[in-house]
Amino acid sequence: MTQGRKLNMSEEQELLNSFMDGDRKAAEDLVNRTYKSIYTFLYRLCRDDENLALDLTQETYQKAWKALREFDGRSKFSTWLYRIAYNTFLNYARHPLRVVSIDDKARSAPICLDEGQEARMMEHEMKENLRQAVLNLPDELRFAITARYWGELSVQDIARMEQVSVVAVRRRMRRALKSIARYCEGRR
Amino acid sequence: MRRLTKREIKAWLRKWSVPEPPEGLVEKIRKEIPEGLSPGIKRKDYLPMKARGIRLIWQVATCLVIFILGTAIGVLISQKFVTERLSIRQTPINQLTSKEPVIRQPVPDQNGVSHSEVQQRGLQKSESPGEALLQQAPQTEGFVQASVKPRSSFDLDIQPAAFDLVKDHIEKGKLPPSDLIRPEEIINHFNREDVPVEENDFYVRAEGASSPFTSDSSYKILKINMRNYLRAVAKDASVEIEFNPSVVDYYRMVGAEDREKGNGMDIVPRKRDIRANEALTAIYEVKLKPELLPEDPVATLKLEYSPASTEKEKVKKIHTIHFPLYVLPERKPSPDLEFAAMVAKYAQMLKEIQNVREEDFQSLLDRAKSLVRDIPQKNDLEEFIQLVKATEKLKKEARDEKAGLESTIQR
Repeated sequence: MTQGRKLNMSEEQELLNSFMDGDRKAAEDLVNRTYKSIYTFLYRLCRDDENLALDLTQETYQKAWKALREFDGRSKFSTWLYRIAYNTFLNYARHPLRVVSIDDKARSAPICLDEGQEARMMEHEMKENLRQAVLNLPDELRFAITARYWGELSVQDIARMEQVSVVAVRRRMRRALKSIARYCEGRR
Repeated sequence: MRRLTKREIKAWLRKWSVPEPPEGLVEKIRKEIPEGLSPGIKRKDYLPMKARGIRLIWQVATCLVIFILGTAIGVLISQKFVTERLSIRQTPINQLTSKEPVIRQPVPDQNGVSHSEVQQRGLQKSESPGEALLQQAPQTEGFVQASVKPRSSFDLDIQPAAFDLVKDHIEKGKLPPSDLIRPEEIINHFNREDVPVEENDFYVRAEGASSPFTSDSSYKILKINMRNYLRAVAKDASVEIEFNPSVVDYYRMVGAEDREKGNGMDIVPRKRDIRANEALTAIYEVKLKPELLPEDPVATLKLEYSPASTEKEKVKKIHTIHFPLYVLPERKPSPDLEFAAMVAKYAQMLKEIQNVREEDFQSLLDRAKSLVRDIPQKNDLEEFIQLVKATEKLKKEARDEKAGLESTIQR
């Protein structure tokens, strides 16, 4: 299994071309190199809900294979995948019953288990506030901030994905951080 | 708690720890990799970075070129606009040189000016009336020394109503008061000469003859006729005559002294509109220097006016026309000039009616009747003759009344 460093654009293009030429191993290689990032990204969005993150990760790839013909190569494949993952999460957030499993431990959100440790409670609270703050952001700001800090995408990749300038992406991130700070302050 | 800074939020976002995904996840995903994708489908070629850079440079260059062109066009248009907003003084569009005779040899008998008339004008008695005039010039008789003040302007504001008032007085049996009499208006009333059609915008004709006011042969009268041949009003028109100091010693305008200043020294050309086809006449009396050559212009007339503009035209143009007036070989003065000289003399007599004698009126009438055959404006001449007769009658009545009054007092 090939894991490890992120692929650059040309490497991704090569794998994609190989996959489109019928090489399945190329697709597996792509999956190996991207699934962890996608999972991490969705994990944070799903309030540390592991099961939900797994489900959404799978759903993301399913949608990606279906939409692969429409992928125009304007951005990196991984970036495009992040966008699908993000939209998948949004769909869930608007229709949460779709992905609820019977023994869904994630439904009981991971609140502070260690009642005696104030630091953990505060950390948890902080994370929850941040998450809520992020989810309350407008869509374009939310994607930019999550892709950058949770998806670990570069500003250039995000700009290419969103078809805006790098300056515009940075501007969105500044606004997002300001909104998050305001939101967290208000929640205290 | 204090508000979080951006750096702190970034740090929180980054350090959000996430456990490793479960091992079965990647297998599940790989199983779902489809088999059915058609081989050979190529994704669309994405424009490489280098080409994008070139495309960006091309776009910037295009914008720059458009900007420069637009600026250049804007500058050109604004320059044209600014130029037209300024008053444009065109080069003289009419350069008429009067070829009409300006001076003729004096014929004392035809002038009918006697030595006694000079005396009646209040001048000093002298053997030579010309010298007397010379002594009197310039202040007392309105003569101006050409070397001191070569430029003269005559008033274009000829009001026909003023002559009508004078005529009205005479027809009602009263001599008009002296301040009502404006000789230039009388001259213009009787000088509606029939001038030929000209292609130029203005017609200017100058003619000279011996002065009827003196027997000195060096004194001449200069009659200047102007007519507006434009089909529209010549707006803000003004006329200036610049006498040649090497030819002209003194000059004065007959009748149209500067009423504002009173001495004719500081005349500012007054402007007024000249209607289409309107004619104007001015008469100057000049004393020439003894030595002059045919190629020496006696004076130059400068006419300035603005053609009437349309509503769309916001630019004022000024046309300046120069008419040099030359001394030419003498010949017999035209009937028009003779008539103008008579009218000028009559106007002068009317203004100084107390000094005029009966024989002066008779002399004038004789001269007028002699022109009946030759002059084209027979109606004007007839009107003039009637006016002179009426004035003579009034003068006679005034004299008789005065004589009767004196005899009553003596008794």
